[in-house]
Amino acid sequence: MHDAAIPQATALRLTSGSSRHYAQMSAQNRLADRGGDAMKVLAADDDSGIRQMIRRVLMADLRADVDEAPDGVNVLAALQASTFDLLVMDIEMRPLDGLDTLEAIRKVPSMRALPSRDDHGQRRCVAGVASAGARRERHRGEARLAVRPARPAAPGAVALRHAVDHAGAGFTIVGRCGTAIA
Amino acid sequence: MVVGDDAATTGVIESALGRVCSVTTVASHIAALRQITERPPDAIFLTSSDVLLPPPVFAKAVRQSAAAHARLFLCSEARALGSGMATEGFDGRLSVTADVPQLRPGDQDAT
Repeated sequence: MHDAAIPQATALRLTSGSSRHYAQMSAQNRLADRGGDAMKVLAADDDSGIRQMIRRVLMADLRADVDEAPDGVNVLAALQASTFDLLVMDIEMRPLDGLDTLEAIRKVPSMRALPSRDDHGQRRCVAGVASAGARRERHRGEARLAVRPARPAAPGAVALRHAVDHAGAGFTIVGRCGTAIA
Repeated sequence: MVVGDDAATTGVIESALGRVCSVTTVASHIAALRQITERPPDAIFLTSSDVLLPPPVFAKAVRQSAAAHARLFLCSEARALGSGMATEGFDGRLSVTADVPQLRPGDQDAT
């Protein structure tokens, strides 16, 4: 899988100045910028099929090393045990949902670093990928966690790439990944 | 299940409950939630707070877990009624008497 070609068509649509540079980098450039080290990603979703989709997309696009977690509790356990460059997380999970997990992450200094930009404006970020896109939760996310909606009608893999691109600029994003996974 | 990182507190509850039922003690809230998913207990006693998962969030998670119907008790230091102690999601609260050194006999009032 590490020899797979890296698509150049990763959608990059940021407008803010500091993030535009990173947004305009292709996945391949980002990989090179990391010195060839694989990005370490934690994919959290209660649907194993979606976790596998996230794994496929990120391994193909970013040659990422992807660990999986089935819920927020296991996300917190994984973050305590290891460090990750990116967390791609569903919102609606049991017993601990994505928003409560994000709030917990931001309370702990060692984890708080995860959703913020590093000195190069990349890595260390959180992308929340909502399967249902509940308006109330999204609003809550925007207000308290800076969650931004991705393309509402995008197919799963496209929404995920979109989320990762934006998350790379330090944003936390809600997309609708789970609803359109083939 | 008794949850908490203070061995003295969990030990007291464990010894009391151990006479009538099987007791499992877990130190962290995260470990407790992972464990109850696999083996839901009949009752849970939460004896400590946690930065990651404070009691209200822990209770919410329990209610959405395989242990949704477990009796859930918050064991906290004694407080006056109406002092704002958050017990939402819990079936009850057990007060634990606080050991306040300043109030021990012989101590002087600093004020």
